[in-house]
Amino acid sequence: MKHLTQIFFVAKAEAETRLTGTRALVVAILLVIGVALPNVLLLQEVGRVPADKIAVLSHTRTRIVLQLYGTEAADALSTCPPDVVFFSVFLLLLLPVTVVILGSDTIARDLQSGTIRFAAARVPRPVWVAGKVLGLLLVVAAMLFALHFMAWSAGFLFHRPSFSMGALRWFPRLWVVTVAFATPYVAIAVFSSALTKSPALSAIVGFAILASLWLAGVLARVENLTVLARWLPGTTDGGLLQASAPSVIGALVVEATWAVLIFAAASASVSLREV
Amino acid sequence: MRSEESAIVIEDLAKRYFRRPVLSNVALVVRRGEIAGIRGRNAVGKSTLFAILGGFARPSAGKAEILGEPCGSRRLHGRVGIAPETVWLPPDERLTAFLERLARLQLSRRRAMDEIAAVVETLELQAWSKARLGTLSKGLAHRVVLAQALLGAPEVLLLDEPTNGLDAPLRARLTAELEARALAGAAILVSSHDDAWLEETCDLTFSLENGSLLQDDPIVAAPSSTKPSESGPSDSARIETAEESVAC
Repeated sequence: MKHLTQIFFVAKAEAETRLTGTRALVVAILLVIGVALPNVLLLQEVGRVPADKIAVLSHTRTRIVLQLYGTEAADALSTCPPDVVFFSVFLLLLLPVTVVILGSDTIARDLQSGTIRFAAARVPRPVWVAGKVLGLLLVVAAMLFALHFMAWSAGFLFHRPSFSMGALRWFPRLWVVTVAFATPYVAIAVFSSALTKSPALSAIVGFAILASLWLAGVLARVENLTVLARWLPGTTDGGLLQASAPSVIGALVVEATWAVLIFAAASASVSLREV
Repeated sequence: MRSEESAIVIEDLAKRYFRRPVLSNVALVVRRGEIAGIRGRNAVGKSTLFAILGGFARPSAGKAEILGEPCGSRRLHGRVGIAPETVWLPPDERLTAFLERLARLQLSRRRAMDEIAAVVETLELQAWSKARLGTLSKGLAHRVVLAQALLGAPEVLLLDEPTNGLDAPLRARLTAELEARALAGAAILVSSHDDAWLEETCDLTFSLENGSLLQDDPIVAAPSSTKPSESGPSDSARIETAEESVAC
């Protein structure tokens, strides 16, 4: 109980630091631009083309979702407003890089400044790292909630037909999916920041890990290594988007397991190093 | 009330960085209720010794224990107050919020606020309590580092160069504070360049030279009313090299 309280206070401090700093705001703005731009362009295109071509565009978007996530996920998403589906697809594509940019200095800055000593004298280092992970995750979750809220609000305002009240049930689900998907990346950001005192270097390490995972995912898909593709972090978004409960739970378990393993590595790194 | 229990025990301690010896054969005992001081030039290993005692660095050889636990042990969390010499404080955080964040890791909100108010007053930081840490001068920032070490009534205090940036009245206040804490049973180890302050404040002082600790000539000839040596010679705080031990 004492450690849980300590994790809470470390997480609170980390979240406050992130939210009051400029980095989270800049990252959120970049994410909004990155996600909104393709969708806005697409919407403008839809507005310009004749009605019969809208079906072609919609078909194109469906094909992209099919290609990325497979038939089952595409079927499950058929009741979700297509604009939101596309918004979420871009969000999932940009999320890993965004999270690493946001969190790559989480521990590195404390190592560099020496302020880790204040915390290390009061709480076990794994507890401190757990608080850091939780704090960053809370910020990412809040940021994703704000982004989803903005997307849905825009949808209700400008695209009312496809945004029925029935479709609204997708709002919490897509938010949970993106948060679950982001969780191992939060752990990766914290892990990379635990390896070095230099925030810049830790960001480079974080991007190298992302690149390795991306390459492994691509190779797994190309070589049809379904087991590998299913068990890598960042490859379970298809599972998270499917309709069947076992697929969703399985994907959640994979993401949570990766997050815990990477957190354990970050904790070990911080615990073993001289500060 | 002073206890005779050993609070800080170091035996045959050595530290090397990439084969370069920084500390060698260091031995030290500080009992509860005592204030021990270490003097030494820059880069002789004082901060390394404090880092080992704080659990931030591992010794290459030898033993370092605080309150019967190896330095860095989980059982010591919250029981040892540490003020490192060099720390860059988070620039955007406000002074009181920073202290509260650290205090809340070990104290209830009410007790945290009470203790923060007390240490802020002791170190005369009231005027800057709402200031952002990045705007503080080096001396003020050092006082903030000292303040966080005093939170939570730690049983052991490790203060690396606590007098840096303090003027004479503040040094006197710090001395009074440390003596009060020693009277309450805390064991205190400090390092300083300020020989006069060390002699005024500490029960015993030691010099760190060439990686080894040498006990100074007795400096408690005119101890304050709170010094244990007043009631008799004190042998409770002792720092010696292994060579000295053999010679004895």
